[in-house]
Parts: sequence; C-alpha cells; structure tokens
Amino acid sequence: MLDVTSASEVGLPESPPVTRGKSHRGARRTAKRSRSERLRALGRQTLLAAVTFGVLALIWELLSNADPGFWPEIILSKPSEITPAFFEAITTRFVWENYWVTFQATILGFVLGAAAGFILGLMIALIPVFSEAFYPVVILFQSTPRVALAPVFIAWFGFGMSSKVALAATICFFPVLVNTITGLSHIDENAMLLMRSLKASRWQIFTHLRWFAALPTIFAGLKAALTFALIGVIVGELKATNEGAGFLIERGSFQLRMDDVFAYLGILALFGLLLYGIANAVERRVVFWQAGDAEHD
Amino acid sequence: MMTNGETSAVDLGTPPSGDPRRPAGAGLAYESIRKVFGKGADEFVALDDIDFSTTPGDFVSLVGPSGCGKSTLLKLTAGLLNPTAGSVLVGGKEINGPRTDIGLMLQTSTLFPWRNVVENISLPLDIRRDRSKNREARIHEVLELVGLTGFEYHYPRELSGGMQQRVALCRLLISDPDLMLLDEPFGALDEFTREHLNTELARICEHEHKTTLFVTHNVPESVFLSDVVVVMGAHPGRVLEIIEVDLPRPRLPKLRDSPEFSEICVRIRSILGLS
Ligand SMILES: Nc1ncnc2c1ncn2[C@@H]1O[C@H](COP(=O)(O)OP(=O)(O)O)[C@@H](O)[C@H]1O
Ligand SMILES: [Mg+2]
Repeated sequence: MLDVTSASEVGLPESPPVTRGKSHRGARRTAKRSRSERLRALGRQTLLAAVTFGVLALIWELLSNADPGFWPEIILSKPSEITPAFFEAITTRFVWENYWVTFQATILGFVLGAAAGFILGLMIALIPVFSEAFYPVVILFQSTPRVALAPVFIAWFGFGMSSKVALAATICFFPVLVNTITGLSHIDENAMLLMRSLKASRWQIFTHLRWFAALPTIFAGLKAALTFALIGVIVGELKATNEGAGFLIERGSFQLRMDDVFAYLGILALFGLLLYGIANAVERRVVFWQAGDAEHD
Repeated sequence: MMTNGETSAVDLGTPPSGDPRRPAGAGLAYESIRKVFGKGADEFVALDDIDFSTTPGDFVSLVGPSGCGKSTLLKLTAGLLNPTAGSVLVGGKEINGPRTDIGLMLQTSTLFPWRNVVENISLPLDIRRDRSKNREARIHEVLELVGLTGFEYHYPRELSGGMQQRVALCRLLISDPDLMLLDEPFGALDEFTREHLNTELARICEHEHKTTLFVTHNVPESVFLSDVVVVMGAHPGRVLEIIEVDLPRPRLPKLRDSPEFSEICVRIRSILGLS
C-alpha cells in the first residue's frame, strides 16, 4: 500500500497545483472554444448551402422561362412547379406509405448486412484460419460493383420486399466487414506491451483495448453502410416493385410528371439526410472520445 | 462508482495496511545476458554479455546512445522478451514472463482515450479483477501523490502531455510494484516539464523506496535521479561502466547546479565519448 506524503510535507515547493489550476482552465477553455467554433461553422455552412440552393433554383427557374421551346418544360419541370408538388407529396398519405416501405427495407437491409459483415469481420480478425480462408474471397467480391447484382436478386427473390432487402444487405455487408477487420487488426504496439506487462488475457486485451480501439473505424463503416443501404433499396425499387420511393420516382418518370419526380427526389434527399443525422448522433454517443476529431474531417 | 475527490475518506495520517516499514523493493541481477534479433544473415546482436546486479531499493538508470539496447534490456526485465542466452533475476526469481510485481511505463502514455483519469488508473486493478473496497481511496492517494487531485473525471485529450504522463505514473503506482520499469517516461516532453517531473519522480521514489530501472539518453537526468548509472555502448549493446552516484537525498532541483553533480555528468559524458 501507498502512504501519502504531499509535496509540501517533504519540504518541496508545491508547484503541481499551480500547473493544475492553469492547465485545467486552459483545457476547458479550448474545449469550449472548439464547441462554439463548431456551431459557428455549422451555421455558416447551412447559410451558404441555403444561398447556393436558392441561387441554383433561381437560375433553373429563369432558364426554363427564357425560351420555352428550347427548354422543354415537360422534361425539366421548374422550381415554381416542383415546390407545390413537393408540398402536395408530403401531405399525401399514399406517398408516406411508400416512403415508409423504403424506410423499412433500408433498415432491414442495413441490419442484416451490417450484422453479417460485423460477425464475419470479427471472425476474420480474431481467428487466423478464417482470415486465410475468407479474406481473398472478400477482396474478390469487394471489387465487383454490387448494384450489378440487382437482376440476380430479382431472379432469386422475385418482386417485392425480399429482393431489395437482399440487395441493400449485400451492399451494406462490405464496408462493415472491411472496417471491422481493419479496425481490429490495427493494434497500438505500446498499448499491447502495456497490456502484456499487466498479464492481461487475450479476452481482456480484446474487451479492454482492441474493441474500443476498433470502434471508431467500425462506426465509419456502419455510417457508409447506412447510406449504401438506401441506395440498394432504391435501385431495387426502380428495377422491380410496385411500392416504395424508387417506385414513385420510376412511375412519375414514366408518366412524364417531372414536378412529382423532383418532389420525390427532394423528399428522398431529406430522408437520406435524416438517416445520416441519426447515424452521426449515435456515433457521437458511442465513440464519444472522438467527438471533437470527427467533426474536422 | 467513484465519489468526488473532496469527499473520499482517506486518512492521510496513518500508513495503510498496517505495514509502516515497507520492503525495499526487489534487487536486479543480469547473468551473462545476450540478445540476438533475427536469424542468419539478418542476425543482429542487440545486447552482449550484460552482467551486473543492483541492491534492492536502488534507482538504476540505463544511459547510452540510441540503439544501444536500453529498451531491449528493459523489456527483458519486464518479461516481454526472452534473452537468447543468460537470465534475468528480479528479487532472486528468474524472469520467464510478465509479473504482477513489476510495473511498466513507456515514453508514450498509452492512456486509453475512452477511459477517464480514474478509469485509466484502474486498468491494472480491472485486469487483476481487484474489487477491493479501498480501490477508490488508493486511486485518490496516487492522484494526490502526483498532484492530479481534481482531474479525476477528465479524459486524456483534455490533459497536457505532462499530465498524461503523471496519469501513466499513477497507473504504474496503483499496482504497488516492487520494481518500476520506466522507458524514457518524460522523453517526449519539453525540457521544463521534464525537469519538473524528474524532481517529482525523485520525491516519489525516495518516498516509496521501490527499485526503479529508468531508461534515458539524457545524462544529467540519469545522474539527478539515480543511485547507480549503467553507462551503455552500442554495436553490440553492452555495459561500458557502472557509476555509483553518491549525491545526498532528497534530490532537490538545486542539486543540478552543484559541482559534484557536474563532475559525475562530465565523467559519464567522457565514458560515452561525448567530451
Ligand atoms: N524486435 C526487434 N527486432 C529486430 N531488431 C530489434 C528489435 N527490437 C530492437 N531491435 C534493434 O535492437 C537495437 C536496440 O534497440 P533498443 O533496445 O530499442 O535501443 P534503445 O532503446 O537503446 O534506443 C536497435 O538497433 C533495434 O533496431
Ligand atoms: Mg528505446
């Protein structure tokens, strides 16, 4: 056991508390500054994005009015028509039902694909035999564009929910798999020495060190996968189904209702943004120690 | 959960665990150590014929140019590497793997960014599954010893480099090891912080009477801290000379200005071929 004698008792100048006070305030100041800086940057970004968006919409509107013969309205539509179409769409139950289907398929595909990728990634990273057996196959599949599998899945699973979920899951699978392997394979040598010197078991090294060290990388993979899942579902719906956001877009295009198509695309963009926002919020909670850094890149 | 530093009930007046006279740490003995890395044409002799021993409780420094095998000798002592020939004895027992009575601290703090100060210091206790009631109290004791009271719930990224190394030192002290192995613990810090922390380290080691093996390539630092300085040379890594430092304790900053101090530094520098 330690018995404690403080610096002053052994007759030394009590310098640490000075450093302590100073650095403490210093640390908090930097933390605060970076948070307000981050907020200000976010505000600026939002404002600039809104301005850019407005200007582009204005140019689009002016161009479509300039020479009706040259810019066939039926193909291009224009903001002044898309805006009411958008508000009509978001107040229509039928539209919501279709986006709800897309949402369900996205989440289901994401969960299935991410879980499979994560579990196989764990096995490849932790069990050497799996690494040798599977990694080359993974690399091979990774270089195949996954959307090209859409017709295959439609042939296998038919029209409807399962084929698009399968497509989304396949697309999700790889980023999660690869990032799980990468995250768990990168081990800080000095941290490892420390753990070994403490006589930590393999399991303790995993639960105390490797798992946490891998989390930021795994999360980056999950975030990419969530976006990919949406892409997979939409591609599936464009190809074959009679419901979902992709189906609405496909039908609108087919009927040459371009104002509707752009309105649906707008909703889809917001929908994607929402998913990404949720993923970010979850990430900031789980990988909390990286919160500051993640904002910068 | 931990309670606040202010309210923890540590009686600083009485020495804990009813053992006022602590053992003076473990003696070190190196018997004809040889360490070779690689095989065949790639063979590299990192250490050759290392043979010396030290008294329990001594502060021992390994000083020498980069690449002379200081870290290798430290890892052999930690049981993280096996010697090609010879044996290392700590407290009379041969090393054949990591031991819980030996603590290690490196140049990088290797604090876990997902653990706050208290949680980082608890790591060795977590690994040992030590759930004793006085865990908290002990953590607060070591925090007080290095002057970090008030930083219990800060995360590593909120601390300066010097403070991070203090936390790493706490993580070492919490195990109450008989032998502390320090590999350039303050090597990455600026000179001012380093000198300050060395003074602190001297105070803590005098107070704890633990055997300490300290790796550095800074001659004054080794003289300031040590009872014994092992001067090493490279190609192959070997011991050039062992210098006893008979300077008074406690070691206080003004010692660095004394002629006796400079004399020993000059002697070591000349052994190293620096002057
Ligand atoms: N694992 C290893 N494999 C091969 N060579 C090594 C290994 N570890 C250290 N060495 C070599 O041994 C020599 C001594 O290294 P080290 O003990 O780290 O020196 P120091 O700490 O004195 O700078 C260096 O030349 C280094 O390249
Ligand atoms: Mg070294």
